[in-house]
Amino acid sequence: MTHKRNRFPRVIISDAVVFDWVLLIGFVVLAVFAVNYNARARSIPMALGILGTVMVSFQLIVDMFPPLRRKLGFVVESGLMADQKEESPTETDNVNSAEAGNYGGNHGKGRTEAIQEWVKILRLIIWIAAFIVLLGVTHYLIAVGLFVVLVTRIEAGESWIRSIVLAVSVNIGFFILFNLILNAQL
Amino acid sequence: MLESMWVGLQLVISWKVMGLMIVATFIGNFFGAVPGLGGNLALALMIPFVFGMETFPGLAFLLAMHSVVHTGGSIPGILFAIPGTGPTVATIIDGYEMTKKGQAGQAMGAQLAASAFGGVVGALVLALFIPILRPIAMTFGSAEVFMLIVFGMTFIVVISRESIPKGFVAAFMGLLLSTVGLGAHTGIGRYTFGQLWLWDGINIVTIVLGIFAFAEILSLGAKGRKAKIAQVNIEMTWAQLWEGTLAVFKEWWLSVRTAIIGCFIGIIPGLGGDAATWICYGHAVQTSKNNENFGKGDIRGVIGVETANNSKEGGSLLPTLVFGIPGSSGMAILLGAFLILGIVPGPTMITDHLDMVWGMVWVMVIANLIGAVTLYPLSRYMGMLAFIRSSLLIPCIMVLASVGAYLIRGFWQDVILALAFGLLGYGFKRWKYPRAPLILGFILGELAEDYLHKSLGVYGFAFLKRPVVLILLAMVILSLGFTIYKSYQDKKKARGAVA
Repeated sequence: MTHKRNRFPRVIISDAVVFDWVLLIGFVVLAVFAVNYNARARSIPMALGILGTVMVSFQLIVDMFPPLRRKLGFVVESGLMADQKEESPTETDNVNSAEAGNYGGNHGKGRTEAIQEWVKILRLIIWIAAFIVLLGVTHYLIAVGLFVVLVTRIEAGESWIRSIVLAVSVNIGFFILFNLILNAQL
Repeated sequence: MLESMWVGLQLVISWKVMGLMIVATFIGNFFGAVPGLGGNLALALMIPFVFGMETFPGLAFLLAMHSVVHTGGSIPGILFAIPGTGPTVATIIDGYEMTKKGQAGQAMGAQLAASAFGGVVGALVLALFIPILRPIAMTFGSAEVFMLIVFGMTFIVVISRESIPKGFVAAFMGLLLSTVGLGAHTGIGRYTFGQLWLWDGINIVTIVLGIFAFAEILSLGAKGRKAKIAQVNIEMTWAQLWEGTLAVFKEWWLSVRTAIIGCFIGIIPGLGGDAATWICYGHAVQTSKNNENFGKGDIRGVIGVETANNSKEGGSLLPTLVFGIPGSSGMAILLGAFLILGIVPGPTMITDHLDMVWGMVWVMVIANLIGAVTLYPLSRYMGMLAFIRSSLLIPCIMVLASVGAYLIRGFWQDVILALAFGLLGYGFKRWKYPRAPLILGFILGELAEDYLHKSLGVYGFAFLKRPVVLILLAMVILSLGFTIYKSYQDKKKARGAVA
């Protein structure tokens, strides 16, 4: 019995692939929009849009069909400093573990966790949107205070007292730093 | 030259600038000491608030803050093995071992003195190169500057640790975003979609806040952060701190060497702080006698890393100022801040604004000294900043970023745009697209287009035949060619290993 090898590699639809698609659509849209401009105005955005589209397309292909990584080696080629020791957590990567209960969770630990993560991100976006509205209707110090109290209490689950203390501290800090020291135009 | 040096010093020696620098060093140390924040975020968050300030005080504030981030960043690393910033990881190897042996004071003293020493040497090397580079910079016209920008961007992508195609995607994205708004050479609005607030283009602050600050908020919110307090003795006495400080000067030759190496690594765009610290750690191990104690708490391990850590900032300021090509992602953000404050980095910087360049050299020297001196009594408490819960950090950074995005032009649309860039930045971070080329592309995009149109206007396509342009073009082709060759070699090696 001969084993018939599948000629077409299996398609992977991961969140990385979705992100590649978003970038690809972005580049295509920007390149297409550039067509409407005069020759002088469109040359650079069109060229960049096309180059970006080509680059993202390669990335998308290897992300969707991982076995093609071997054939399209240049797509996964890292820079010359790739052999350097891995950068530790300059930013949020570098921290030890997730904070249970308070915004917690880890990257890539299964579909459920991934969904939970995106829900948390969505909630943060809604909070920021609410802050933008607050900023538009009231003085910035009131908006800051209210926002810090509510986010710390509701989202992070800290006590009311701790939330209020934090909000007052942030308000005082903002006032001293930006109004008194930096003389910022707020 | 001497007159410019003196004028530069006068710019710094004023109550206002000195006061701002003291505040800035505290902020810089804070952002360095809290893991998850870091220098890029500090710059992104603070740029909007210097918007209305005079040029030099604003510049001194940001530069002083950026200069000392790694000084604060090493403290939690030495005391609790929690690196505040990426490049400080190498300090942990010997620093934390010293703490475990009850020598936290010596390690901290050495770290602070070495940081200050490195920062000062970095600034001095920067000063030394100004007269050397001045005549070279003066020969650069629009064609040469355009090609230099192309080379700088290619080099940063090629030399980075990330995937090269992803780096180019980021750079193209940044360049495309820079075309938004009314172009000086085109006469029409591009990608404005009928929105008046987009006519001036996207503000650099909006994009920096989005790509760095909002992206970090989302990442921090999604992942969370909690560090367990290590059970180590972090008691330290003044005598121990002094002993550690003296060690830097006893090992003066090592300090000088690693500071200079760090500075030169900083000059090369894209190499980054990690390269500087690890290379210098390796150098300290290889060149020291009796090196069997490295990794077990040898003070020379702390000195070698810390001098390089701060000196590389002086080095990376050099290409940023002289050629407008940032040496690191932090410098890319700083470059954006320079533009906001009305300074256009590039060859004209050392021909027309030499006093300001000298002012920056002085700022780096003084900020490094202030940053270290103020930390002597505070280092133990600064180390505890590593344990601030993310639940308390997130709201504070959120409001700072949002207020910053709003402050710059008073448009609420800018906050929404920053949030959208935050999502893009989060995607970049999560799926390992480098963010620095995006910022760099955005900052240099407008300049590149401007210089390209000028070059075409003056020389036509013959600008490509100019000698310096040809050299730079060859360097672009060589750097890309070498990468393809390396890829081919790696593949061949891998095939050989399988066989």
